[in-house]
Amino acid sequence: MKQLEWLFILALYIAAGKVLPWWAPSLVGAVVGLIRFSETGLIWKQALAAAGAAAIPAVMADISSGGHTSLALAGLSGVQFHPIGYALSLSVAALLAALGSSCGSSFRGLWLHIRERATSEE
Amino acid sequence: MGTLRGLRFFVSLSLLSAVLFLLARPWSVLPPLGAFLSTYHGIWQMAPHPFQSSDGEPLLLKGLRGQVKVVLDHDRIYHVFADNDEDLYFAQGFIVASDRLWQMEFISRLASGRVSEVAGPKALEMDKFFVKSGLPEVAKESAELMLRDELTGPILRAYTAGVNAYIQSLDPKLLPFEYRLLGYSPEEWTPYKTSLIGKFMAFYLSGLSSDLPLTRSRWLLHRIEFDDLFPLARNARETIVPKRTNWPFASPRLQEPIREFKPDLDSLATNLIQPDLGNGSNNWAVSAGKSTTGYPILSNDVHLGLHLPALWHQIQLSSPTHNTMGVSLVGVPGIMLGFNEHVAWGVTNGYNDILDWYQLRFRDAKQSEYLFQGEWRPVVSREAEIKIKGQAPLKVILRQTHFGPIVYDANEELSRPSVPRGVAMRWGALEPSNELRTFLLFNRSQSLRDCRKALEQFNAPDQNFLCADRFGGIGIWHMGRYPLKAPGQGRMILDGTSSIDEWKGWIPRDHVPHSVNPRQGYLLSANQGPTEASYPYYLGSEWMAPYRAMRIGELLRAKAKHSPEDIIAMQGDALSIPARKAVPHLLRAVKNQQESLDDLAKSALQVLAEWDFQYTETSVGATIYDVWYKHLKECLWSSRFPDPKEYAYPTLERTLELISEDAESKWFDDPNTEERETLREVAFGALKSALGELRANLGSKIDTWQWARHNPTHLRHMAQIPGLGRTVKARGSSQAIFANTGHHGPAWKVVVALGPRPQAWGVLPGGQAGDPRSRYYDTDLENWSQNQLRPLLFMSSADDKGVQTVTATRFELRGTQEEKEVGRAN
Repeated sequence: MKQLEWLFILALYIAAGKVLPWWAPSLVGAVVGLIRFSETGLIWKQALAAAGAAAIPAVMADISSGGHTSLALAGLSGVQFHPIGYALSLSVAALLAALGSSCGSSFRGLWLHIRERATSEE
Repeated sequence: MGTLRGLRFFVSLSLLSAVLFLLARPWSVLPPLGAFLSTYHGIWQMAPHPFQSSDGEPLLLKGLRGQVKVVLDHDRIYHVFADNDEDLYFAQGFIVASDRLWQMEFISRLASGRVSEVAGPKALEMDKFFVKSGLPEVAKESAELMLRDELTGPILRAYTAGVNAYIQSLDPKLLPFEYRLLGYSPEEWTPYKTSLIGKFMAFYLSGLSSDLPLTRSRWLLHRIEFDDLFPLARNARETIVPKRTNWPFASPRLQEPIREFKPDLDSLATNLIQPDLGNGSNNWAVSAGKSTTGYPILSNDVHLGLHLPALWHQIQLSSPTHNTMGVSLVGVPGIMLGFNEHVAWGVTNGYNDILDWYQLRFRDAKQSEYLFQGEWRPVVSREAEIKIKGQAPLKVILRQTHFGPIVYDANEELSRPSVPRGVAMRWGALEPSNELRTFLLFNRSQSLRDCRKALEQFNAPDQNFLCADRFGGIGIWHMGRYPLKAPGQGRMILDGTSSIDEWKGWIPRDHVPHSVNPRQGYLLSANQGPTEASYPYYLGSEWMAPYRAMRIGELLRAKAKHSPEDIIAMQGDALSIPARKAVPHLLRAVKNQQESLDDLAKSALQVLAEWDFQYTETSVGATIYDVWYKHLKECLWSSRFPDPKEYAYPTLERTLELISEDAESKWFDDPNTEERETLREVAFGALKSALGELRANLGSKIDTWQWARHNPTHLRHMAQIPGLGRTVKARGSSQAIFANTGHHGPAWKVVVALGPRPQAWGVLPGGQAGDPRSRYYDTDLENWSQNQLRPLLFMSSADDKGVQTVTATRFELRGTQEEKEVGRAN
């Protein structure tokens, strides 16, 4: 069950990354943070999920040259893997997701606290 | 508790906002990094190559009339076969743009002074230079000339249409890498941009001027001393035209300038923008009688700044009029250097003095009039604007005299109230011309005679055109449009107030130095002086040192016949004749002073004594000699000339002469000391400081002082974008045939063996693709560094059986239906 949940979150990052602009990981992170605010290590998990999802396009770029193997060989398709550049991209996605997640979970915590206080005062 | 939660939310929100803000804004010339680094929409996404999306079907392109077959070989070289010339050049424009669009547009921006527009104010000085030099205006006029020409006009139009067809096919979201990095889009391609690239090459190869530093050095010395250190007539060793050639003509009598002109040196600008001092090349050819194949073999390696992407693009172009292979200059149609079934040709830079400076006397600070022959002449001025990224545009005033433009405005450099004196530039390349015609005619040449004919309209930059044909002939022409000058005229800053120093006309084209089928059986050029003193005209005096040429000659004479493999091996030769000449004298000079040296220094001298004078990657002797000579030159000349950037030093040839022939010369004596120094003291002092530098930089283990470690070869990205360059270990020296200095060297190497079916080998310092993300961006770099030339596949037709043995991918380009109808109607 837990694994399914994580697969769903990963899929969410991928879908958002494809549809939304570059800041998508922060939004997904915030949403997940809102829902699962009290989970231990949430921020790290979100960062990992966002980085994992961001790695997909590189794999896709290689797969897209399938069926055009000779083109790929001729350098007409596919990208040359650049570890530093790619690490930088994944780090940005991870950072955005972590900050978004932190924001979402802290907001949820604050909101629950305010609601709790209002209930107890009543 | 609630406050803590509130604080945590506030901090998280602030951090997220700050990061989003930082990632959303541009940094200097870089675009917003958030979008740029996005793996889904950013730099990692490439537009599909147009051939990739064609998926086996012919790619339909508006503008093509017929069918074009394209074969992409295992080295990613395109072989293009078209039914007619216009389709051929349309396809070339399309293909070159698909590989190098950003690069060709960037060079055209450079030449038109428009780099600041996309890169910001750091490019402003360079932009100002090009705008004020008048290069863009001349390129415009040259483009019109090319378009009017019956040969070049249709080809230039077709090529332009091909480039634009590619630009139109681009998805604006998936532009080539550098556009996205620098945050701008490609503009429509025009014939003017092609012309700008041609004129930029003219600047790159003939815009070099030592007039100002030489003038400064001149006025530091007595005339006799100056003539001794900077002789006008040099030893004519290994000239381009073989010795004892008779010249069946005489030059008109020109009076030498009657007085020496001393310009106001203080008012001259100091920030001369200069092309690289090492721009040069090698070419040589052996005739059928001196070749093991029975047909001529031609070799060419053009030395230019080493950048990525590589400057040249290898391609084969075939139509019913010709079948030619070689390299094209990106942005320019046709093959610039290469071969066909009948001929092979290559070039080296001529280095004649076709650029002079005239100091003017203005009437007043407005610089609207200048004195000439006792009359005040108007300066034609107009305003131009240079756009700057992130800043308001800069207005510059372009001033024109009858000599040429005033490139360096004295007012900009000086804030003194004295009457300003500017300098006007007279440059042979600053005239409308159609060099494209020459290269397209070379593409179609079938004999030496055709090669000679192709040169009839060639003006600048002056080049040594070497040609060989399959009938066994070889010929070389030191070609360009050369001003008629008195000996030494224009070597230094000239007087702009009188007509004495004006150019007196042009040297007739039939009188340029040339040689066809000499008895020696070979021809060579390596930017050295073209002729012996018996040649009737004055062409200049600042040619490169003759050592590369001497080494080529030495190796060519060493064997009766040469094979293509011999010629390829010669290209990789890294022996330095200056080192061979200097080292024994230097070792002798320090021989009796070694007691005071430590063990490391003694080992260094031992290494040098055993050195074979080859600048190979692992050579330790090369490192020791190179650093020693650098220090010796500094010790010798810095006491006479204050700053090497502002003053000319005596040449390598003259310095070597002193070392090898005149160890007691007065020039070794430092005027600032009481003792009388000779080569002995200078060489020893230089050795100690050289060893100090080597210890500091490379450590105390002498085995690690290897040449390629001391002098790694670094190819920067053309726009100097960090991370996109490459470093490689390679052999070479500026005075060796493999003339690699570490940042400058052979930008294409080729050897062609003519015959019933020509064979050729070539290598680029980089790769065919311009996209840094492509694996073909730098594939050839290792081969280049080891002088491993790759066989070039020369196909007789698109269905050539010869290509069955290699991996090749075939594509087809076709016109759209609409175009075919237009074609039929025509």
